[in-house]
Amino acid sequence: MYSLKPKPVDFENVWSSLRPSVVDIMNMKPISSIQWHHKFSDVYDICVSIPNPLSEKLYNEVKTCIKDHVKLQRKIIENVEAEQLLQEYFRMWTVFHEGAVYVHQLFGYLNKQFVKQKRCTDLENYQNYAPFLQAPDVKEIGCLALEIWREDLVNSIQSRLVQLLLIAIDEDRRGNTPAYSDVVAGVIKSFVQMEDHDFDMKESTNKESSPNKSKKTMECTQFYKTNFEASFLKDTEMYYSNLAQKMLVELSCSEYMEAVIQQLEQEEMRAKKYLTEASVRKVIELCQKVMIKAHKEKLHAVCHDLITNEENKDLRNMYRLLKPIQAGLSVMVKEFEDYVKQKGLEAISRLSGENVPQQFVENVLKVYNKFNDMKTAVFMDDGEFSSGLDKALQGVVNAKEVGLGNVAAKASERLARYTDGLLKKTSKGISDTDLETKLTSAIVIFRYIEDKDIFQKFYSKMLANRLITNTSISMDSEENMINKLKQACGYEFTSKLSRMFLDIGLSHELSTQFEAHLTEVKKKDPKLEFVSTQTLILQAGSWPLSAPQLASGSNTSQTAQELADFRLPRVLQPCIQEFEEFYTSKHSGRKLTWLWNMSQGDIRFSYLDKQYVVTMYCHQIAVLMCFERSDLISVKQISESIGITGDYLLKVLKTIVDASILLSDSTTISQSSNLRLNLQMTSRRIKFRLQMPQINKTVEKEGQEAVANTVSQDRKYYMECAIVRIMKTRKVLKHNALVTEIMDQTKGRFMPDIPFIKKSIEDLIEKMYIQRTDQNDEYQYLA
Amino acid sequence: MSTTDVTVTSEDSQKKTANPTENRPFVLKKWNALAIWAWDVECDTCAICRVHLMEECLRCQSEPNADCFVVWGDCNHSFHHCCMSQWIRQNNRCPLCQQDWVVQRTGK
Repeated sequence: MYSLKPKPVDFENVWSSLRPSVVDIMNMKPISSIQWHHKFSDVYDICVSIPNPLSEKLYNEVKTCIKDHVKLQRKIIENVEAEQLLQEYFRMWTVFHEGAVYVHQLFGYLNKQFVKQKRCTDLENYQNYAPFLQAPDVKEIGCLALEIWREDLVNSIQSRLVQLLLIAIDEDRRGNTPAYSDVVAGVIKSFVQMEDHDFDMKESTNKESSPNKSKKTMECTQFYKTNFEASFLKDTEMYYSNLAQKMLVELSCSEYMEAVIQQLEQEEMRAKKYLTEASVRKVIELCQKVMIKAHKEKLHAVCHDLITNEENKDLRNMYRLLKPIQAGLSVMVKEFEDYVKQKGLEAISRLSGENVPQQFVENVLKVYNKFNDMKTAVFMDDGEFSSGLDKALQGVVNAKEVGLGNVAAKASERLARYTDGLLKKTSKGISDTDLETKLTSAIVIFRYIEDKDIFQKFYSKMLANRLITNTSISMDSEENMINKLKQACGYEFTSKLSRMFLDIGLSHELSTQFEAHLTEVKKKDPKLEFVSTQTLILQAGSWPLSAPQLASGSNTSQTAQELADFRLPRVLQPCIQEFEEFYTSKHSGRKLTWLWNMSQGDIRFSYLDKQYVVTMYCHQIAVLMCFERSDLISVKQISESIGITGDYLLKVLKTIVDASILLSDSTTISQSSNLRLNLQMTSRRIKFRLQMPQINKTVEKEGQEAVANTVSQDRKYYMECAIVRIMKTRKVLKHNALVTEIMDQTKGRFMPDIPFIKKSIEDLIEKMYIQRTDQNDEYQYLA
Repeated sequence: MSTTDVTVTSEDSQKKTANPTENRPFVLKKWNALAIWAWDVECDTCAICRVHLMEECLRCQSEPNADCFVVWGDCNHSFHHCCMSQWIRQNNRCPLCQQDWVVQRTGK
């Protein structure tokens, strides 16, 4: 058969038989398998012929042959009428392109042996100069064919082709999709394929549209870009900016937005149909530029009305349009924020009546829920709108009430009261799931509060009250809420609250143990009597409580004096003594301070027509115990026997007289009054409780003042700690940088104002923690 | 309840139970007492870490530790146990009075 052995070749002779076959293949005329093999081996023979390989000669002849062929083709195409040009070109290209692939394969040996070698040696020899050299002139046959096609044929008709293509696409835009749209796409694609040099990679038969091909073509599409894409984009820009002008005149803004969305969708589909992937993005960006960005002021102008009228459909359209534009949403976000804030402030502006805290929380939540839903449905939970919503609600929640000057916002107290209302045992049942939802939504508002430390103070006061009076709805719910706060604000924020919660659990355990202990004691000495006792032992510092003598403030210290000599009623002494001994055996190094003013007992009255049971405070018990032996006693005598004096005694007495357990001989009780036990006392309830002494109108106000006081102390301390921490790590810092870092560190608790920050810095300079450097506005840490 | 009418005088009632407390016109049925505990210390701040003794010491605040209690020396000065055990590694004297440090008791 064929010998691989090199032999002398008569070039003219072999070529003259090879050449017609090449032309046939280029025209995609059928060729038999045997003939193909003959020709292939002819190429081989020429390339390895002795004495000298004739590769170069063959290469040149093939080149001339292809050039001649393309020249013929050009003559044909140049005479085609405009209407048929695209179709005819596409038909010729399809044949030529396919043919070129086969010819490339026919000269496979030439490609491998001659072209590659030639290029390699060229590259090796001039490796150092490679960047300055032109690409080697020798190409693989397939590429050579495409290049000749491009240079010799397409260049001469290119402007006509491009124009026809643009007209076709323009028609498509106007709604007249050309019947030959695949031809349009094919011609555009040919511009890319002409530069596709990667012949060996693809199968010859299905070269038309393999998916991974499009990626490759993006790399070298110089011809496509300069000769087609540029003019196409120019055309597109013109078309759509004219369209936008026209639509703006004819349509309302709402209609315009819908029209633009539709145009964009259609143009994207069109671009995908005709163009390369890389171009699609360019076209869409261009369309957005001329139809949206160029007219965004017009959209912004109606934005305010759309938002205040809550035109959600239009707003969603506007969001879709402005989203891809750089910084396009800012106007919208601002309008949204303002509107939410306005609505929120309206919702909390006219609160009155009994349950202001509940109205406040519920109204804010209504606004939150409404606009949060709107943010999800209309603005796709966009981050910019989320932060706009947050900013607005923060403004609402922390709004200072108008006309009251620089009063702290009420939100902290209201929210604390609201949660107190939820967590207090009430007659109205609330299901666990309801409670859970309400507590969770309270946290939503909590996150917006700036003065979280004030909230903490109020919350801990109310929690203490619930725990001590045992009026919590359930321990699980209390713990649940503390955990929620911890999640929102961190361990440190809730550590005291957790401690309080823990103390109650420990106290219950301790009481049970004490009960068992008492049973043991009684076994040994059955004569001893102990009243059933429940004792709460609270850790100092964690609870917002203190014995009267420890408290600050002029009013309470006077009370402390009046209470200094208080003698515990005899009936209570044994169990208190026993408890103290018991406690000392359990713990060492601790001392207990009894809060008599908050300790309560249940007293049964056995001298009346009904067996009333009255819950009262320790001091009230002490007073009543004086009437064990006598019905009529003077205030002075009472004072002597229980050791309480002054105003406080009168207040205690008043609470008992108010319940008509005792009768006074004067309308207002004074130190010289006499009191008599009311033997005819009746009450509608068999069980009731006495008021806590000292309850008067100012107490609540004082409570708030006290909170404000401790808060400002805590803030000062927190602020100084923050400054020292920052300066310790930074060593030297400019004033402004320091202020920024301080703001950052404290915002979880409260929003400090600048004078307060400056004051704290001054104080620390005085205390020699930091000093000014010789630079302006700079501080230095002193170790 | 039974329909006993007890007068204010200490006349005995006709109650079934011979409980002596029942003789009184006021009977304490139940008692809820409230107390605050604190370490029994002279100075309530730890001289080593400058933190209140009722709170965890500085170290334990950054890495929570359940056993941050108080220790008293023979000199009756008190510190956080954690702070003191660090301290005596370098100097076995009370930081306040320079007496040799002998543990008198620990809080629990």
